[in-house]
Amino acid sequence: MQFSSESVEGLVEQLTKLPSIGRKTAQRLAAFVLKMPRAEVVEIAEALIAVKDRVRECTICHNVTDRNPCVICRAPRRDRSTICVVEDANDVLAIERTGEYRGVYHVLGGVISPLNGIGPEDLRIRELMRRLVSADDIPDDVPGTNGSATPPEDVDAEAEAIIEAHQAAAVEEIILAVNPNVEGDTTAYYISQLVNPLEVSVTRIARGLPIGGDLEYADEATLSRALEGRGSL
Amino acid sequence: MSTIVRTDAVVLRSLDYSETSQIVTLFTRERGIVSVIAKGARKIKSRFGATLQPTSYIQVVFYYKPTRGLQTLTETSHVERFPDVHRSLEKLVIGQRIVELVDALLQEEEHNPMVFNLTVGVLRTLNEADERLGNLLAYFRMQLATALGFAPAIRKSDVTALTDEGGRLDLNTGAIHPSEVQLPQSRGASRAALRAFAVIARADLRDVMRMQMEPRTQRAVDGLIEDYLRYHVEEAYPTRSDDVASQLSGAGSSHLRG
Ligand SMILES: [Zn+2]
Repeated sequence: MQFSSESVEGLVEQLTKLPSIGRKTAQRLAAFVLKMPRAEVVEIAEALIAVKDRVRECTICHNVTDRNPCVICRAPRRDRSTICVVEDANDVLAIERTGEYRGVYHVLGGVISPLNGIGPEDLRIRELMRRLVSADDIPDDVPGTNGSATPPEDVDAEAEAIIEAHQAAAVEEIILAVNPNVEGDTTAYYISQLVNPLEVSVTRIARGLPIGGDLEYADEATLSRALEGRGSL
Repeated sequence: MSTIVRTDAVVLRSLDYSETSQIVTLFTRERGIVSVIAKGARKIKSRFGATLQPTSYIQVVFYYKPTRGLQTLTETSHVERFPDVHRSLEKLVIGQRIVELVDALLQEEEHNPMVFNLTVGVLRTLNEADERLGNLLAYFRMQLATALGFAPAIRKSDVTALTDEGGRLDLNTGAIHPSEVQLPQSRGASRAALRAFAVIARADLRDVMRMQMEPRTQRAVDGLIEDYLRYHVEEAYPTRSDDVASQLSGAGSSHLRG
């Protein structure tokens, strides 16, 4: 079925670009938008644009944030000697919801997936290494860029000081909070092989998380237990 | 009209779909490659548990409708577990390269019990083996070529006739020739590499796993097998996991390459 209006058809087309939205769902959403008050539609449109214009990536942990560095990296009470490595920003949210984790994060931006052609150079793995050792000490065969060794230009002196403080902090533990599946396993083994020669312990949350399950869908209690019961690789 | 199918299968890949589901590509014993939807597979308490990970050897039940591209998965259970395939980077990557090859080189719903048994056998060995995992991948590629209908035509006398000069592999027939023979589609290689090629093509898996090769010979024979397979399957040859494997090989696992 096609709408007889070109504008509605255009909206349907655009909506189908979103993940998990097929044509039918897009048509239902478009029909709903047609009935909404104009002010509400404007709010949605503005929120979409604001996300692109205002949200940036934290220089330290690569989480999404309005202010760089992000609130977690800014917080003086967070333990900067423990870094929890996650696949994406949703996993940070899931772990923050447990209210039990006091360390900081590192967002990889994905996981290693040979079947999808995603390797370490597509992820923020070299940037993770950069938080553990100085750029010169990262083995050359770790693909990727060294990240921003100097703070980006758009941050103020206070932010710059925070970035430097993180770089100076001695990291004692890396907690790998990747999903318990083939891609998560591949990522975890790769990172642990890189980090093993350093004086940093590498643990992985797994206990209580069933293989194949997505971290994002774990309830707080399960995730807390998983964090608590993390084991070395 | 839909029928209920119960069959053994190897999981080739899983793709997240909608909120909590997955689209899973299965290599089934009965019907070859079939794509199914596993509803709720990513929920923490999914009824599919750990069965839908690539390289899993499982029994599946699904509703099959020939007019439909995606069948609905209803039940799964492990036939045999290969836990060690998930316990090292090298094994994880080889396992994924094996399923990638099956996925890329077999047609949808192409019934091929020979490739099925080969795949399960190789995954089982991958689970058990402690060393020479590179031999395993070489064996798999070569046997896959044979199962797909282009077994190399190797004569024992051609192999024994090889001199220190080495020889040439005819990419079209898989025959081995002396180095002076002029062939349009061929590759030159050392005697050791061509001998290894011949052994991997003819010997059983157990013997191949006992083969001790110099790293140089290993690389050369991997190159020969890859060229031979590529010559026959052309564009279908998958390269994604090869690319990732070479990126990963830096982290102290040099034989992931190849
Ligand atoms: Zn941050």
